[in-house]
Amino acid sequence: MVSNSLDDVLVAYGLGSCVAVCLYDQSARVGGMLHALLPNAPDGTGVQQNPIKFVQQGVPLLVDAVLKLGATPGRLVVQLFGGAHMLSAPGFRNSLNIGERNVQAAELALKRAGLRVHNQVTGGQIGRTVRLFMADGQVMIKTRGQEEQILVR
Amino acid sequence: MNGSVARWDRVLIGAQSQGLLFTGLQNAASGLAKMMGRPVSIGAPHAELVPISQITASVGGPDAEMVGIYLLMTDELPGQAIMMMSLSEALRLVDLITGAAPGTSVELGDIERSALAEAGNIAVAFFLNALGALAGTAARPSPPAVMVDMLGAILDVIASRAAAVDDNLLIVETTFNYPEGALQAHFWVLPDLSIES
Repeated sequence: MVSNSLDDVLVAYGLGSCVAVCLYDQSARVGGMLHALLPNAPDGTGVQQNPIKFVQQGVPLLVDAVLKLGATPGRLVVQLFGGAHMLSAPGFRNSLNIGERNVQAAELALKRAGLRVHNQVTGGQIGRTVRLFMADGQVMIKTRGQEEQILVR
Repeated sequence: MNGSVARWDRVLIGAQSQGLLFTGLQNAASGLAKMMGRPVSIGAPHAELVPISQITASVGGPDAEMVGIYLLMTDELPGQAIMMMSLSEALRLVDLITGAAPGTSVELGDIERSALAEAGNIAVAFFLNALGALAGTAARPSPPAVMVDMLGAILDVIASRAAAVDDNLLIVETTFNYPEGALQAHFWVLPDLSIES
């Protein structure tokens, strides 16, 4: 989702292994957030109709959308959140760490888009809710079990 | 395993499927009841195809703090299963299982998690047993993972595993109810219908 409306707050709730890629242009006051579940779409059809968000496909779409609203690539502040390792229990030692793969996919996709990540709060084994305020690009993070906090960059 | 699709077919398709699933869910509740030494009833049992983007809706807000007991099912009836409840309900469940006075458990340490894991294990095992008897299979769940986190984060586990296959999840669901203990746990079984699982 993207926005150029100062009143908007973009929210990604309950990020576990999901990642949220946040972009914000301070001068244009334009920004967006991608809430992605998996690193990339499976080979094959139906990606366009598919409401599931994939990092690899979603990042370029997010960048395009934000630029269309008037953002300038060089002024975009890029932040990355989530990608926790949810299944660290003994019975699941062999399970893929989707969270980590999502973070890696996001870093790669952003690099391909010519953007660098300014800030990230990722990994760990805990859920997070992230809000991006369109008024000033501020981010608030709520980590499970804690008070919501303003992210100071 | 080609055989696994055929097994779920026996349970999910046909005039008897509703009855089979109902029996499975009731058996899960009876397993839990045995474990707690108290009657457990089921509520609103049904099977539904849910778009992944909407899976939190019936359980709670996506950043609500919940306890999820998560298991994988393998072999002939592959898929995922999860029991979800609030933290306070989870603590009550632990007390009921251990026979402690209500209010004894105040946080989820190793022993408490172990009790919860066993509850999840019993529920899924009893569910599968009921289906096994009817569908002619034997299936066991994996050792459970007990997750305490935001609901959205817990459900990411389910969604990401299923999303690689489809953007709709088949969810067989019910609630386990023990009114006197103010316990209402969501119970989901998500059959994996893909050919290679």
